[in-house]
Amino acid sequence: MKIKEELKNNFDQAELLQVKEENFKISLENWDLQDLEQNNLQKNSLRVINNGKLGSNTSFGDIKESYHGLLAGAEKSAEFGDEAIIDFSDKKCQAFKAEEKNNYQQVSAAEMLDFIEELKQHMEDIASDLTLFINLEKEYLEQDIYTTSQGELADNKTNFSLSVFAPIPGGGSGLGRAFIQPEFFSELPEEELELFARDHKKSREVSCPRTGKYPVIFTPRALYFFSVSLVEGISGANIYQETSPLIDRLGEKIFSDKLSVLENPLMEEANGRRKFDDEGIPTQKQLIIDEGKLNSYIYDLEHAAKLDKTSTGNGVKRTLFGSGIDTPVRPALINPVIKPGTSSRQQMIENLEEGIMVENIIGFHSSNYEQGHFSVQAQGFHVRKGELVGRLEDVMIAGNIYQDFKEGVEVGEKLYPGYFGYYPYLLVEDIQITGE
Amino acid sequence: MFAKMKGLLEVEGLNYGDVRYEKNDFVTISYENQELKKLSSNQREGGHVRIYQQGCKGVSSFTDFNEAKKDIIELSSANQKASKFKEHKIKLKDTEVYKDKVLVEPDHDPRKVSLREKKELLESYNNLALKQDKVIKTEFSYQEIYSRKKFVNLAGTELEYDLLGCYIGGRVYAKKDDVIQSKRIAFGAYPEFSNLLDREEDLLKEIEILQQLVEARPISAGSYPVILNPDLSSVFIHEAFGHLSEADGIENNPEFREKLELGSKIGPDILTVIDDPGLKGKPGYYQYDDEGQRARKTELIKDGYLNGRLHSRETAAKFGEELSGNMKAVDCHFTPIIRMSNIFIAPGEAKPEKLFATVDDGYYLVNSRGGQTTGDQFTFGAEYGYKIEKGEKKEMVRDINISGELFATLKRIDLIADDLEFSEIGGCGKGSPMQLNRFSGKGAPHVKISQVNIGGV
Repeated sequence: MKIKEELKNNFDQAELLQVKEENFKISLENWDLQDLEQNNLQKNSLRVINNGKLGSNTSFGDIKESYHGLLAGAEKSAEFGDEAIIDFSDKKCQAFKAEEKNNYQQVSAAEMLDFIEELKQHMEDIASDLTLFINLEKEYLEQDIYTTSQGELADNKTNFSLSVFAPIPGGGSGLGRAFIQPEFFSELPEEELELFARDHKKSREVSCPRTGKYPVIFTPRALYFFSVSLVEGISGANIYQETSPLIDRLGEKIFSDKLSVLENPLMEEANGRRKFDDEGIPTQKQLIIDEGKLNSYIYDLEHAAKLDKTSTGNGVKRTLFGSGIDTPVRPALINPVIKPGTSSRQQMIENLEEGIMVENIIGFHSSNYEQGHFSVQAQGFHVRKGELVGRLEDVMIAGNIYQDFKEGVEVGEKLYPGYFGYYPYLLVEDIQITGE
Repeated sequence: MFAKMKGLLEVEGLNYGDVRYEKNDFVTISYENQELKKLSSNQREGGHVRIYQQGCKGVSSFTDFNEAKKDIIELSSANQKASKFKEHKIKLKDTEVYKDKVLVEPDHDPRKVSLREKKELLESYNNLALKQDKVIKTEFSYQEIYSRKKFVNLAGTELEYDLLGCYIGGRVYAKKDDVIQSKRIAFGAYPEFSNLLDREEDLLKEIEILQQLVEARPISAGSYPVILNPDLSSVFIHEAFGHLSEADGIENNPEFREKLELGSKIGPDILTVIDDPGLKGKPGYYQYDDEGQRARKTELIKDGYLNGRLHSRETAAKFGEELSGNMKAVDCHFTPIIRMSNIFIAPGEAKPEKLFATVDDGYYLVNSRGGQTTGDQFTFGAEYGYKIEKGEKKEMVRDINISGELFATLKRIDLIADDLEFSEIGGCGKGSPMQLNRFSGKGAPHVKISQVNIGGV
């Protein structure tokens, strides 16, 4: 309470974000137990408006111990700060649930070790020749925001994640699968693990197409490049700075009409689910791309104010290279979802005379992705006459999402978790490939 | 403080344990166009504990000493349960016990420069960039990191050491018609602040290149001989080879361990690659690592033969090789992992002109735009390049990404120039969660590779 009083007394306005993170992870490398890792961290971020100027500061540790330094740093920052054009949130949201914390605490290390042992046994039965890496993790996150404008918001969540990965013999790449959910795993995801093992067997030989244009199946694991580029296009910051390729294009068809993209932070099973953003603005389900048409841009408080709009609840402390308490707030999608279509992965593969299936892309951040451009190494499979015939090696794909995803797109029927967001398999008919 | 830290290790049944406690100061000032986006000067502190018992390892990060002891007792209990699942018990390489205190003392200390002076310096570079023709956007930031660390272990080591570095990093965007391109700016000071002053001419040279870049055509896809400039060569050796010389990346991958056996011939005779934390003034300079080991120089490749590897105490024991002192954590809440210090390709004997004279139809690729590797596969972006025809540098090209397989590409290095240069700013990402290490240096001379895949539109 004392800190709230001090914030009220010392500043025109203040916004305090407190994050508590706990996790416990068990990792195996080449089938053997590697590390047990746990973290118990508290992080704090303070933004203030003082004499009409904006300042900010962050600290680690218990707020009771660190708040003098936190306040002094924010005050100093505001001395040099730009003129404030925003008011901090006045919203209220109590989404804290005791069962989320219980859910985290009740799953013991012993239970997780037993699950790993069961998984290991299953994998030995179906693919004992793999060099198998496994991670099993439980994570708890608590977020509280208090503002002197009477904003009070609290949310918490627990997620359990499992990932398996196996390097490809003879190649530098590997294949992986990830599973994430709010409840601990009650059973093994056997069907997906068996498909993973079958795919891995297909990767033992090298097979590459000749340089040219081919259909490409993007797996959900590779599709983050699409949503990262799209975020740059629809970001209110880039609209304001006039660097977005999507300025003045609302209502225009920019992708195939098979493609619809949702922002869905309220998706209950999503690991990225959130009731409010990092500025205390409630999040909402938004249709970003409606059957190929650009439907909306996204804003944080600052860029909404600059463009005379309202925040869409997309003020997030995240960049392509990570997130953290020190990362300044920018407009970003919290949980992008490509709306599923009707094709199965199997149908997509079977209908290909020749093409590739991309499991992973390497070097995306070196492309001019802000403009939708990609020029990346593609790891995955060569597909010929409806079958996976071998792994790709030294193959690059290049193009621009605003040209290549405009026609000839087919969308898979099932959603999978990606690097951030949820995606189906996606077939794009005509992509430039540098191969043999 | 040492006593308080040792108290955390008073847990029954430990074979080994260590505690690292850090107090870190960060100064960040950033501009986007005319707007000051951030000015902060913050401190954070916290610790990290590693415990070894019954051949198992547990690690724990904390920000609150009061909760840390309880967490470590819980972790120790989980470790004991886990030991029955551990097939190959962990051993640590024997090492000396050190008691030492080493602190940096620069002539022009960034910590003594006022926040106002730092802001005004950054603002002046930002304003200069904004005034230039075709420039539509600027992003400039000043970052300063001062990290004070204390380390104790159960064997009796007690160390106090620090790291200090600062840099100005920026990206300037230019536009002509529908083409938008950007160029990176990087001035580093590890740790002499004077390195950041009077850099206007350097900045204008970079912007001149950017103004040419929006007029350049995209590169054509295909396989070509290429000459990499020192910055791009250093990223290549860091990303494609350096990460495979970190033992924790290959220790549990039998195929890579076989490919990377010491004594294997993996490059031409002219290739020597070194990791050296003892290079004062370079971003990767340090005297002790975060596992309580003395820093040492390692010849990774000598005359084309694999000669050394970067190790932790755990991997040195597992591989039966020498300790190297390369365990680093980038902040208090991370566990140390094996990192390069200052990695570089040793200079060759050829003059840079000789490299150009040997290319009939290829490209000169300049400066890194970031890179990524998985295993022995790599992809790097180049900021810009030039066509080379019959030994002569011709028109500029843009949108360049190269990719390949490390071992084949190393063998295709056929000339190394004598003009070794180090990058001004450190930077290396590794780990999950990602640890972005700003105290990691890299260098190289011009290098010619006889064939590389280029992805173009």
